[in-house]
Order: sequence, then structure tokens, then C-alpha cells
Amino acid sequence: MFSQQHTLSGYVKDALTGEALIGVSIYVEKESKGATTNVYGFYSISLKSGEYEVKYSYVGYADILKTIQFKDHVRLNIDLKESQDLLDEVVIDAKQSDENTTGTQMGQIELSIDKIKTIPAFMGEVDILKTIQFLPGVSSGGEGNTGFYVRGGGPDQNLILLDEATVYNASHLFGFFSVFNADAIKNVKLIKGGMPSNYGGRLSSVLDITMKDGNYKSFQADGGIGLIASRLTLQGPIKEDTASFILSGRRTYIDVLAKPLISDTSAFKGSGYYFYDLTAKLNWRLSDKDRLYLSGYFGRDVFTFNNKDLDFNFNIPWGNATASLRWNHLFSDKLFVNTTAVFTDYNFAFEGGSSDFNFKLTSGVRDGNLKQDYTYYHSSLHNIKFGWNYTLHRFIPTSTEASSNDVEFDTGEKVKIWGNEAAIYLLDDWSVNERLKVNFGMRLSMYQHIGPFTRYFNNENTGTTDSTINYSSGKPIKTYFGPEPRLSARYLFPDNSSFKLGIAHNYQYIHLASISSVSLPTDLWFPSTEVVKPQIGTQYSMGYFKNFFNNKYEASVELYYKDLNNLIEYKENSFPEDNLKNNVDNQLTFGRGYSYGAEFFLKKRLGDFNGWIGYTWSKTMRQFDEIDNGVEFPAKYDRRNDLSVVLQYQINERVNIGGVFVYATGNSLSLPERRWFSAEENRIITVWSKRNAFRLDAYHRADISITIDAKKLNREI
Amino acid sequence: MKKFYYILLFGFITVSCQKKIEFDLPEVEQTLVLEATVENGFAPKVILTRSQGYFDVFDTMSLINMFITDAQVKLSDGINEFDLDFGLIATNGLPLPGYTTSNPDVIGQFGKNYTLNVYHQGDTLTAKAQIPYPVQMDSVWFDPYIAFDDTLGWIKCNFKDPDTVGNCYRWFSKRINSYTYNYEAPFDNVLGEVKDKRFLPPIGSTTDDKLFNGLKFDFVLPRGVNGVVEGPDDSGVEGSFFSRGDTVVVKSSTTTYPIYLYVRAMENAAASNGSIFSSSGNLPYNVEGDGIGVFYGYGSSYDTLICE
Repeated sequence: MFSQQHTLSGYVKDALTGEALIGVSIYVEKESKGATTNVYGFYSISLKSGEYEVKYSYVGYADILKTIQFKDHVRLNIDLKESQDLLDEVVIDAKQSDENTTGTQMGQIELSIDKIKTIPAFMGEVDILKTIQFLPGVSSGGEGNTGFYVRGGGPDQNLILLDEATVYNASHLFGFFSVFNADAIKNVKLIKGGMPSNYGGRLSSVLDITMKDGNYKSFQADGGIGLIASRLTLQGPIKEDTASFILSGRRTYIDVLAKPLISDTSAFKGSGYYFYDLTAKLNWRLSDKDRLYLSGYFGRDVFTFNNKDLDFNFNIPWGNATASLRWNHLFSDKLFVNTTAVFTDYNFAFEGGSSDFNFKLTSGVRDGNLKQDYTYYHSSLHNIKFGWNYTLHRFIPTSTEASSNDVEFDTGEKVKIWGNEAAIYLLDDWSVNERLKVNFGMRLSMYQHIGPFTRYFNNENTGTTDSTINYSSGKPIKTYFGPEPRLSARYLFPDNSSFKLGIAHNYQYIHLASISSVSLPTDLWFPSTEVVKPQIGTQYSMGYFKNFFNNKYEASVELYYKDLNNLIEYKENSFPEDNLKNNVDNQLTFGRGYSYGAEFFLKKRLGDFNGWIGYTWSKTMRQFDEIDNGVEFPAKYDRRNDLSVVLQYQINERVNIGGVFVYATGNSLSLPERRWFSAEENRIITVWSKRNAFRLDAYHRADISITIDAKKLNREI
Repeated sequence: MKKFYYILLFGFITVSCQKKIEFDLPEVEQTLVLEATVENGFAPKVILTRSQGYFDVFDTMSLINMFITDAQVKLSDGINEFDLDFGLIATNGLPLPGYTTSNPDVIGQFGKNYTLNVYHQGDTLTAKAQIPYPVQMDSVWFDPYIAFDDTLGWIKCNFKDPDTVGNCYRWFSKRINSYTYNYEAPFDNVLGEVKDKRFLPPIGSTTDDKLFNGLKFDFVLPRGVNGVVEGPDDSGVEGSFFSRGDTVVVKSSTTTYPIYLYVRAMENAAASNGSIFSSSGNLPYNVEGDGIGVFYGYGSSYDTLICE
């Protein structure tokens, strides 16, 4: 006779602040069954009738052991208290933290914001994007740059989500700082391996960032004065245990400090640079089954230059705005649904000129996105996710206005490119038996380029337009479909080590075209059209994962091969003004790439002395028919060796010492190879080498930091 | 108070050091380079050189040796083909070794298309150029820049673009009056010398008419620069300005789209040398065959003004 299955479900939150806790382990030892809380703190586990001891545990929190008599479905919300004793932390965490060996997901790393805050930071500004660059398989865009490259993929192939809203440009100050204010962030998850099918739209990685909910229990203010920027965070309950808010802002002030140094008569008066950002979130627990979250981000960088002597000035503002409204609903103890509406906007402008000539260039991307994600906790053997996603994209590749005195130049119509992107997906995380677990999924995606749109056919010899095709509003111009199968599997060995493999096939319908040699806000997001095909990537990966000393140490070796198709680059000698009365995609050239590598990772998770060592050996190549006659060349961020060592030592409750060491093969680059003398122009003309034919010296860096927790200091005082 | 800010600002300044980066550059094969011009009213000018290693020593000998003196150069105007002779030709205000002809039938004419064929030690180069019909400025005048005083200024031009798309332009200026005083060394003996020995283009000297097809408008023409050769008044307050009293010939040249693309890229590379915004691409040459280079075609008209 079969015993009846019952469901134990609920939310887990921080007892002090009411903040939902992500990734809390719920473990039933008697049945050897477990579950973890999702990004909203919800969990569900199926058990037969009977009496069980259920343990709730989470790093840094005291565990809770509940004895539960199962006769029916049980709803149990848990409040976990922060552990005061570091020794407790070791004991609590050591038993259950084997997700890296037992889970099916490969190449997934979660970092808590508290951990990130103790790692040495550039100019003292805690930076999420710079921290993930210390992980194996993740390369930095350059010294101090927040741009990152995952397993040989381009910077546009990373899906960066802030509370489920896509962030198109994640950097301030031309890449030196990320837009994410660490004070408002709760959790950071990076998926660099085969991404599960609930994620899509990018080829290389997902960086899923969750904002804090805000304190449900009491008002709290945090602030900081840094070398670069100052910040302030306010949070508190709107209605205790029911609704909360968090509001966090940052602003740089070098412009304010420099202002008194620039005299009123200086030709450069009025020049300066600043950035600011605001992050806000409101949460309502409407009922036991319904929760509502409204979160938003708004940030701007503004660079202004004046030269009165030369009668010349320009102003460059750029930034992101995102807003997401999410509604969690529990249809039953087994069926969790999240409905999300997202608005995302990124724009860039360059306004410049003199007293009698003015020029304005704008570009941007705006998305409206609606989606539903269902999680069905079928049984302890199956965890099923399914959902749909629709996005209306509006791209402004480059729009130009120019005038000379009262004469307005004819810059053509403001070009907007519209597209529908949609996807449905289904995945099952299936425990076939005690040893074998399989996560298989299918994502079906679609992109449709729709009117209004004007296609230009220009004469290459004269630059003039031979003919155009005008598409009316809403008219489908080109539709692409992409089946995206995903598979990952884990085989658990008796010693609790595991072997995993994964295959992921992804479609990416938008592209980033960079006209300069470095990643800048001038880079254009451009969608697939009838000329530009979607990027297609396939990644094969496998790895061996083992934990030592009661899960105190994690170790892994992962191998991957990634194939990338329909990559884009600007043709040589393209200029932004070439977009006038032309399509951006007429200036693009198309190619492919591949990357393969091995990643080694050793992490000490617990104890006063902890940290990790990551080493990557990899090769990343590109091939474009119109570059160097089709000969393949190393990608700019091709690095044969990349080593990161991140160490922390907790001296006492208040003082933490951190150290980072990075060693990487130098970037590849093109160099001047030959020259000739132009008598007509009286200039030396440079002839460049083949693309990225040379390599800089190896890069190495060591940083040390000391973090003193003033809060704890105050408490003692 | 200011002191306080200086101290505060000092806090932002960190000590830095530079490390010399060395690369092993492999020997690369040098290539034939063609630079030729056809222009209305002038004999064709062709200069043939060989490229050099980027870090090779650049001295008088290497300059002399880079010119190719034994090539066969043929120019066709679509009807007849003419041999060009080796000799000294006046390019850039200086006589340089090159190829031209004294045949009056080969003087550049509006509307003609020219093809150049070069043969040298088994290498062949072919290039095409056109002399388009010129577009004369409607008016040119001196516009003093009052921010300094009214002795310096730019030249302003009023221009009407024909209502046909695809026109490309390049503008030059040449001051034909002499310096009336000396400058600091090494320009301490320029008194009496003619200011510009050739027509000089400013950076940003070329454009197509996409923005202003068929429009009549004013634009500013800064003083041109002689490539990498700095003149006495190219830096300091006089840089890019004309002076009151200058006699200036403004040359307005129409050209073709490939030359517009080439000059735009060449000037951009010159202006952004070393900038992170610059790209490392080679210029869009309009020469085919076993080498690189450019074959300019200009249809030019001239205006002369006295800056007063």
C-alpha cells in the first residue's frame, strides 16, 4: 500500500529584518531528501505520511530543527536568526553545503553580498562585476574595467538581470564602476555553464542580481563616504511584517570638489564629470499566497566639456532605467508562479558644437517585457519549471540632428527599429535514482523584426542610395525561430564526488556593435534583421566536483568547448555618421568564433581563513571573411592563462583582512607594422598588423584590504 | 579655502610609474605604395615608394631610398594612354622624385576618368580616379574671433550644394602673403617668407553631401595644417586661425566617394593617433594589385580674399 504524499512548503526569512533568504537548505535526514528556497525565499518538499525532523540551515544563521507530524499538507514559514558565534557558523554550514556536487547545474556560482564586501575593491568602491572577474572562466575587459567575458563569449553575450530587468550597460565612468550599488543588493548568481532553459536571449552567461527587499521590522539607515562616491541607503517597514521599502543612492563628487579650482575666467569652466544612481524597491505581502514587488533603478553618467577659447563644447549623458513589477502567487503548495512586467531603457547622447554649428547624436534601446514563470514541485523526484516570455524591443541605433546657424541639415528620419521577441520553455530537474540526476529542458524562442522600417540599398562606389523598401508599422519583415535544447546531468559517486556534463544550445537575437577598440557607451545595441542573423551558440561542458573535509573545501575541474556563430563587427573605417540615410547593418561584417578551455577551482568555504583559487587555461578565436582575408585571429580577450587567488582572514568579529592576486596572459592586440610617407599629405601613414597579432606582457596584480565593521564596533562601545 | 581643495585633490592623486613594454616585431615584407593625383589644369603627379618597417630608422638615406625610380607608369584618360616620365615633380611645395609628363594633352580636365597602371619588377598596380566638375563657393569672408581680439579669425564660406546626391568635397587654404615678423627658434628667420607653400587642408577637410544635399549654408574653414610639419604659427594663439591682413586662396575641390572615404579615415587616424577611440584598421586604399596607395582626383575652383 502506498503512503500518501504530503507537501511541506513555506517561506524562509531573516528573523531580524524579514528579508527573504535565498538558497536556504531544507533537509530531511530520515528520507535523505532536501530542497532549497528560491529567489523569493519559497520552498516546497514532498514527503510521505509520518513524523520527520526537518532542518533549516543557511550560512551565517543558526539552524532550526522542526519535528513535523505529516498527516496533511503543511505550510511552515521559518524565521532564521543570524548566528553570533562564528564557530557555530562552521558547524551549521558544514553538513549541508554540498549543492556544488549534488546539483545538476554546472558552472554556477552564487556570491553573497557580505562576501563581496570583504574583497579588496578599487578606490574602496565595492563592485560586483569586478568580483566575478576573479572566478575561473570569467575574464576582465581590462584594468579597472567592469566589462566581463565568459568562456570566450563577447560582452554582449552576458544576460545581466537586476530583479529580472535586463540591464544593457552595467557600467559607470566608461567601465570603471558597475551600476550596481552593493548596499541595495542581496544576492548575485552567475551561470557560466549551460544555462537552464528558463533563461535565454544570450549565449554565454547569466548574471542574476537580486535586490534587497528592505527591512520589514525596523527603520535602518546606512551610508558611506568613499573616495569616489558617497552613498546612502534607507530601508524600513511600511507596515510591519507586511510591507517594506528600500531606497539607495550614490553620487560621485569629483566635479563638486574641482569646481572651486576652476576660475570663472577659465576657458574650461563648466567642464566636469559625475554619475549617480538610485535603486528602490517596495514589497507587499498581500496574503499568505500573494506577494508583490516593485523595484527600479535609475542611473546617469554625465560628461561635459567646454572650451571657450576654441568655441567648442560637448555634453555626453548616458544611463539605464529599469522598473519591474512582480507578483508571486501560490496556486497550491506545489505550484508557484511569478508574473513579471519589466520596463528597461538605456540611452546615450552626444550633444556638441560651437556658436554656429550644433550636432546631436542619440542611441538607445527600450524594452517592454511580460513573462510568467511557473515552478511545479511535483515530487521529490521531479522539479518542473515552465513559462513564457514576451518582449517588445525598440532600438534607436543612431539618430543625428545637425544645424548651422538657422539652417537645419537633413539628417533623415529618426530611425527606430522594432522587434518582437518571445519564448516558451519547459524544464525538469529529475532525480532518476540516488546517483543520477538529469536537468533537461527545451526553450523555443522567436524573434520578429517588424515595421516601420526603411531598408536602404546604397551604392558602394558613390555612397548614394540606389533604392529603398519601406515597411509599414507592425509589418513583419523577418522572423527567426530557435529551438534551444538544454541538458545537464550529474552522476554522484559513493564518495559524494560527482561527474557532470552539460549541453546548451542558445539563440541571441540582439547584438552589440562596437566602433572603437574598447567597450564604450557609444557601443550600439542592434537587433537581428533580414541582414543580421541571430547569434547562435552551443556549449559542451563536463566536470568533476568533489568536496573535502566535511564540505569545508570545494574543488572542481570543468572542461568546455563553445561554438559561436553570426557574430558581428563593424567593417573597417566605419564612422557613426555612416548611419545617416543608411542602415547600421550595412556597415557590419559577420563571422564566427570558438573557445575551449579548462577551469580549476579550489575554495575554502568556512572558517576564519577562507577564499578561493581559480585557474583557467583557454583559447578563444574569431574568424570573419572580411577581416584579414578570413584568417582566424585571437579574440581581444583570448587568455591562455588566467589565475585568481582570493583570500580572507577574519581576525576577530570586527576586523577582516582580504587579499587578491591576479595573473593573466596579456591581451592580444594589433600593432603598427609598417609605415609609408604620404608626400601629398605630409604625413606618416601607418600600416597595421593582422588583427590581434601581438600580445601584451602578462598582467599581474595584488591587492590587500582591511575591513573594519564599524557597526559592530559601535555596538560594543 | 583653495588650499584646502588642493590638499583634498592631492588625496586623489596616486603615485604612478611607467613600465616600458617591448615587443618582438617580426620582419615583414615591404610593399609598393602609390600616391597619385589628377587635378584640373595640372599635369598628373605620381609618386612611387616602398613602405618601411614601423620602427625602422627614418633618416635622409632611408628617405632617398624609399622612392622607386625605375617603374613603368602609364595613364589612360579613357581614350588615349600616355607614358609618364620619371623626374622631379612639385608635390607638397618640394620637388620630389616621381612621374609626370609635360604633354599638354594630359593636363587634367573636368569630367574625365583616368586609369593608372604601374609596373615594377613584376609587381602591378592599377588605380582609377575622376576629376568631377567643381562647385564654386558663393562667397568667402574673414570672420574675426572676438574672444581674443579681432586680429585673428577663421574664414567663413557660403556654399550651395547642387541638388544631386553623392557630391563629395575637400577644402584647402593657402596664405600667399609673407610673414611680417619672426617667431621663436627655430622660426626666428621666417620674416619675408611666404606663409604657406602649398594648399593646406584642415583636419576634417572632407565631407559628402548626405547632411546638406541641395542646401545653401555657411561653414567655418579653419586654417589648414601641413601634415606633421609644424609651421611658426601653428601652435600658440595663432594656431588654426588666419590673421587680419592675410591674403588667402581658398580651394574648393570636388572629389569622388572613395577619396572622401580615404581622406576621412586618414585624417581621423591622424587626429586620434594613440587614442583609445581610434581603431587599428588600415586605410581604405583605392589601389588594386601588388601594393597599396591612393589615386586622388580633384575638380578644383579657387577664391581669393584679403582678411580685413
